[in-house]
Amino acid sequence: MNKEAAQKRVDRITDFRAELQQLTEEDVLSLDDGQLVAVNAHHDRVIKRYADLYDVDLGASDKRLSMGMRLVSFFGAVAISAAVFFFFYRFWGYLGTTSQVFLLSAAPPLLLAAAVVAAKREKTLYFTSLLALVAFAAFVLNLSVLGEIFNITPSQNAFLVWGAFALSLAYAWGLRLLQVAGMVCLMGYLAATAGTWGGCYWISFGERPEHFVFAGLALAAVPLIPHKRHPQFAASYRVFGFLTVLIAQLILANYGRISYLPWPYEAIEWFYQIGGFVVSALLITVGIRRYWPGMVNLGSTFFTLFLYTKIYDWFWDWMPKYLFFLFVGLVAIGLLFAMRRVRTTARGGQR
Amino acid sequence: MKMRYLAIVVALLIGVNLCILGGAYLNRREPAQAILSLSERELHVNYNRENSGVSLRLDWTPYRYSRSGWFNEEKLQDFGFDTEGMSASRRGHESWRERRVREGYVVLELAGDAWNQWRTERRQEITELEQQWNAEESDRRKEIERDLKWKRAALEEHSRLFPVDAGRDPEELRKRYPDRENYAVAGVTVRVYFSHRDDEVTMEGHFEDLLVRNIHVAKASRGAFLGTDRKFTARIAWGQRYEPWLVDAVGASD
Repeated sequence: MNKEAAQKRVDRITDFRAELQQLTEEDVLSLDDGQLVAVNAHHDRVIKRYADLYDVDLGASDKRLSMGMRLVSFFGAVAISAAVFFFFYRFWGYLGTTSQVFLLSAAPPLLLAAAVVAAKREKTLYFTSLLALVAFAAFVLNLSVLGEIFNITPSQNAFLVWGAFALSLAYAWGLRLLQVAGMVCLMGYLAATAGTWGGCYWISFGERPEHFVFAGLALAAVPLIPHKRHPQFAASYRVFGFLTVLIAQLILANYGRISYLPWPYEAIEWFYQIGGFVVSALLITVGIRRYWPGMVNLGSTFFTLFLYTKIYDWFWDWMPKYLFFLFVGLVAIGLLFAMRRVRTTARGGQR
Repeated sequence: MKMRYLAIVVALLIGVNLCILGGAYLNRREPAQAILSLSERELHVNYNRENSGVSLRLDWTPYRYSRSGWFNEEKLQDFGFDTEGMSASRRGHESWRERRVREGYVVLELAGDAWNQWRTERRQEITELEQQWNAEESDRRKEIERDLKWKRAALEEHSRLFPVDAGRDPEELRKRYPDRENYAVAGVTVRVYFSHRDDEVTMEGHFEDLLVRNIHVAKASRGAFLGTDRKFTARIAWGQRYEPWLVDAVGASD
């Protein structure tokens, strides 16, 4: 059991109580007093246990407050990280090299220790998340400034190390923000490494979107390793990975000249346009079958984007503007019908 | 389980810091690969209110201004560029694909033949401009005066560091240029450029940037660079890993 699973159970209990009340009022179902007391007592015990263990939200207002606290924790971490960053740069020139190295190396472990202490004292992990993010920022500062002090040739391996650091903290406490930070770093490392395989210098990895296709697919494959303790992480890897793949495809579908493929530019753009439709459609299909809502939303968004890009290419120049927008509107209505049909089919499948 | 992840984090913290410090130590082992005495002509001082650290940006004259033409197709092949494949499709719009950046090493010459040649060219240009100034009507004279001012200042202030050779193997370059007080080998990034003249398309290499261009100034040496007189002499060394560092510095007012 983890916090997410406990929260789901508490939500189910809340929904059950509301529905039971409704059914009683509509004279459809009525439990006798003994059953009702037993069920309520059992649910109260479950809720109390989960509230004690995981500090779960017990109602809508609790949830809104939790969301607010998560946002405050995130913005606080960003602000404190920026403060650490600018404070160091403001004064480091007045310190000797030994003091600089000591400060840079000592800050991340100290902040990590503070995060460990916070995690022991709180169930909600808001302060732990804040301190862990600041520890990550201090580690980024640690590496980059030591590189500056000793004039070290920059390397993409820094992204791997930062990614490993952030993901380790994310898995230790189930922190989503750290997972995002880790995924971004890993994405940078994988794309840069793919660039070096093609003979490029690593910093120029952004010039070829195909590097990101590789990096995105690699990230999307991470959930093949079972994530029993952190099932929510698996969904993030998939969505983030395929989001990167689709953005790269969208760029190449409109700008084939930056591709590695040794074909005429028009052929490359067609290849990626068709590829974009195929991947988007596959994501929608797989998302519906596996009950992955994030994938369905991602696939639908990019399918529409690819479609509208093509419509613009084909019709914008020669169609009167009123007709163009009317056509776009009709296509949107067509897509609505198609999606409704997909939903109905999926519901039939579930039955 | 939680402890295992935290152990990874601690191992990363210790391992990465040791790697960086070890790498810096290895780079600075004697003997240095080169030690060049540079001045404010080659080193631009970076310092601002929000960043109290001082660093020196190495200024060098890019190849395209040296006009010596040695960075040709043959040299590009040393960097791993498929120049023959590119020759087959030398149409301008096809060339973008091959313009990827590769890394290698450049030999930087301090105040040598390349600099002398550059100075001779600038002086010739100044003489020509002076002749034009004498011959022209007054409405063109202001433009010529501006050019003359710029070129005379360049002669006084321009960097004396010029790239004279490049390749993938730094040791091979060091053997070709054994003088360690006037030639440094440094990491660099390179790109292919295509020149179109009439129907002919030629390829040449261009340097993008040095891999390490900014050199950190330790607290002990700050005074040399932050004086009111902006003139200084600094000894910059390049080590075993071709990474530079500031050995010492003397300000003009010291």
